[in-house]
Amino acid sequence: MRLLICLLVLSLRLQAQEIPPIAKHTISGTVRAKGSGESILRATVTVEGKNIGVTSNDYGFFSITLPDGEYTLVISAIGWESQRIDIRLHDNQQIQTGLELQGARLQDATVTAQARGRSIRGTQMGVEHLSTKEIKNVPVLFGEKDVLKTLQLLPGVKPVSQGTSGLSVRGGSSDQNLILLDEAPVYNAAHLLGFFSTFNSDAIKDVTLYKGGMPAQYGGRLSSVVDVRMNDGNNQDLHVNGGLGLISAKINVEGPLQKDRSSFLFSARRTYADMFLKLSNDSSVNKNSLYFYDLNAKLNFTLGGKDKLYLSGYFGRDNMASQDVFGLNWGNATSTLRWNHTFGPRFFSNTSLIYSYYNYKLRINNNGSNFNVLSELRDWNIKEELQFYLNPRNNIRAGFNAIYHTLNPGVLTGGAKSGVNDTSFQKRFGLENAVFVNNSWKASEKWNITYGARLSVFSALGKGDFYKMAPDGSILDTLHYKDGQVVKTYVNPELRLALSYQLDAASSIKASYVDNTQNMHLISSTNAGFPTDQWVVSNNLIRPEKSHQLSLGYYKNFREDEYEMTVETYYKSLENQIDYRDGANLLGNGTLETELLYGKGRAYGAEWLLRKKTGRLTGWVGYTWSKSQKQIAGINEGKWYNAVQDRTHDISVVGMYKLNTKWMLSANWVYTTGNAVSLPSGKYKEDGRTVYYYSERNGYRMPAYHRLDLSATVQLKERKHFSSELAFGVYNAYNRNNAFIITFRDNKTDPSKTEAVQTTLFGAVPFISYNFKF
Amino acid sequence: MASCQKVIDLKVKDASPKYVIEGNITNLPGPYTVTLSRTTPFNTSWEFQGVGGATVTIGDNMGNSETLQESQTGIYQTTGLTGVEGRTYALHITVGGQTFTASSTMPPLVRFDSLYIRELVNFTKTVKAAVPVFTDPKGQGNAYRFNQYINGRLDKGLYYQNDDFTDGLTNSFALLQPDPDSTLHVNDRVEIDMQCIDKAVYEYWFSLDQSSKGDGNGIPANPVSNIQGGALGYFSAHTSQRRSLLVK
Repeated sequence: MRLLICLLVLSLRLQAQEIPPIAKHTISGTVRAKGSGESILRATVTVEGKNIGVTSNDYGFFSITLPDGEYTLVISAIGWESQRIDIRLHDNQQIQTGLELQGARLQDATVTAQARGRSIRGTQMGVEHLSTKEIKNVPVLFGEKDVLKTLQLLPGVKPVSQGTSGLSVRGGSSDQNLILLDEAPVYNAAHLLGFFSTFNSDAIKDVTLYKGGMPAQYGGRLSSVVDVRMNDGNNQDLHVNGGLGLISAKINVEGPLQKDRSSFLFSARRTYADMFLKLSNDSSVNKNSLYFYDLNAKLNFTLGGKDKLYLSGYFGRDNMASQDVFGLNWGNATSTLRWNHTFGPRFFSNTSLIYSYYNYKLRINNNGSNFNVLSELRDWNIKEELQFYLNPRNNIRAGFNAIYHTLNPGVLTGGAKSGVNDTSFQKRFGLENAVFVNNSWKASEKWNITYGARLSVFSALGKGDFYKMAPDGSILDTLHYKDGQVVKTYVNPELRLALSYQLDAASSIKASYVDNTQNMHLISSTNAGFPTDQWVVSNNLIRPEKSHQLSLGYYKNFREDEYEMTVETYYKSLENQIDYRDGANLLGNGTLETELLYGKGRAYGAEWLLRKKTGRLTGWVGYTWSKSQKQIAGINEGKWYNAVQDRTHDISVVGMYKLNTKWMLSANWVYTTGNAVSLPSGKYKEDGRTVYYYSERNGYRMPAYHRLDLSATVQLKERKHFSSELAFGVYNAYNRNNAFIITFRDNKTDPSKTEAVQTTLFGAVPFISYNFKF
Repeated sequence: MASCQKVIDLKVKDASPKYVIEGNITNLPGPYTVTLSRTTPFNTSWEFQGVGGATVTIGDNMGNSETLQESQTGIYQTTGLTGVEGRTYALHITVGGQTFTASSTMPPLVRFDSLYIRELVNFTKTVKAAVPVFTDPKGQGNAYRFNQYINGRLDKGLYYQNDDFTDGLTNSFALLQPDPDSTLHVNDRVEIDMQCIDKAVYEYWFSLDQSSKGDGNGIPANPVSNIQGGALGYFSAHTSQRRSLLVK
């Protein structure tokens, strides 16, 4: 804290010394695309001839204050033609921008994620941006473009479980990622048990992943922030685009409500693989169903010169059913109402009201035993963020966030002949508050420093019964709390610090330190992200998880920014990491807290990334060496053990080649050390049933995983106002039998012998899809 | 979705063998048996490795106590003890300088009223399964285990339940497992041994089923044992009732 105050005094004192005798004025505006009116995020606005620049924020807004005089502003963003604006500054000016798309051909040829040289300037490290343009060309399972799966090809990011969209970032578990869709937390970002993510790439503008050095406006999860932003909708012309794939169809409609001032966007997607099941004559097949759909919608309005209103929503649902006997459906709903307001040219404010909801419904109806289970989670969330462009050297952000969580773990209803009693588990309530402040300070030509703090205050609230527990997990006493009564409050200050030093025009070094606190925890025995996994909030027994991460990095661009190289290392220490007692009952348990054990964690590693950003061939090679371990009393005799997601080596190679104006070829190859796994050391029999004896937790490895995916995209003949393309390829091209799970069984002919059986989920899977636009 | 399976050659470290204890005492006349053995290394063919020369005693909370006689290597039997509902039994074993203890309470008997066969859907097939009929007494805390014998052969499926969601109800849940060896066919003679078990023994079977069968469910681990001193296995005092019928 003392450090932060010193930095604050220092940055303002330098500012005071600098005040020149001449007047200053401010240029502000929003960076927009010319054809569609979409705001452009992270565009750079630089003053030609001076080493001064700002970046447009999450709404495209920027502000820059300069001494009166004549300037040329250069506004640039990747994939767009730079725009130059001459300005004679003698009073505050609002400027209109309209960046033009780089020639369509050229744009496809230069598939690049970031503005050139973004890694060098600025203090932000441990961050990755993906645009939908980039996601488009990476081959994935069934050809279903997927932002989360594309993120998994970057260093430090891995799937938690094979083939799934769940993320393990720098050794963390899947619930340690804050996944935001237009600022709304998404609690289960997976469709069809994780094989697809909830994000329909047609509706997505931009994805930012923070692996470390999270800015102070983000908090609440230990490993990462995945900030997904939806398109605003074209405010110039009506456009329709869509696609037909092997398993799904989708459509996206957007257009102006009132030209230049307001627009809408509507996007829908549904899988239809189950329709083929219906064609079957076999009643055991045609009565099964397996599908998902999702809808994205957004409206935005410009109200006068100072205000803008956005309303966005998401609704998605999965459905699995077998024979009217078993049914499981689940899904998320989120909505966000945002109000941008500028108080003068240097003060930007965003206020968001956010709602997040997740539920699953389980239905069993099997000849006499029939019942339903409903489980739900609901958040009401308010967020205020102020951005103050003090001067070209200091950009201050401050704000607060308050979330009220309601968790309804399970309601079981049957009825008279169901064979079960109607049962409701206790609802749990939590109030998660945070205030934050952050300053990005350009200390000198070479030094950039971002410093800030976040105060996390979490309260577990009644009504409900809470427990006093003995070390063995048995309940000693039950404490009753009234509606709204505070059960326990945890206060955690978090330091956020990042600095960069520019070595020369093309290279820099950076360091960052970040604390994070997590009060929402996912209880899962599978680590694979099942819809029935249970979220719990911190309470008197469940303590907040905490992490402290230090990272160091080196960044270099060469061959005139054609190539970019980054090396980052990190060390994370973690507190109150959760694992489960042996034999824990995690399903349908009203006192889950008694099944949990807590301990320490540590994760460290190094990530190399070499990226080719321009030319006919683009792509990257990434390599990660990492370790992730836990130490928890009561597990593995209290010794350190590897977390399931601990994978020592991880390589990914992604290449995209623009063959000619029509054809685009792409390939990616991944290699990763197998997951840490517990295998039996011995066996015994009880009444002829083989029981396996385990002597250590996660002491073995699954076989190494590797896979090659290929795809090709061809532009079909263009007509006036209509273009289309065909994409096809193959997932797991050389049909590698990767081990998904290893199970054990008695040999059929000699039951005294044990067989290890490896199950492979996907062999080579071809795909094809057709996409159109008019 | 296409998935495929193959048998693989797996190398594991052989940990030093561990003692395995299996002890049962019921409300039926004795003798009751306690077995003491060792685990077999994973890559070796299993054979019963009984441990002889141990001192095994069982006592109850009414002051009765008895030292068991070793009938075969590793198999110890009572001679005079009678199991009684409601009593708590204590097992005490000393072997090679190590001591293992356990206690288990035989719950009051819940009457096994009848048995019938019901057709129900198991994944995509309609199958027949046995439904043991009994009425759970009001008040939570009852637990049950069932052994199913099909034509005299013990079905290796594990069947157990407690009354968390069924307190005071008449059971309608069938004994259903996906394994073909657990499937009933017309003209099979099916016999069910219904056991009323205590909470610790229920947790043993539950955790064994979840984590120790090598079937890839849950987090692999040893079952939660009620034996103190670091041995695998269990000691169960339970009631036992049998009913059988011919599948039609």
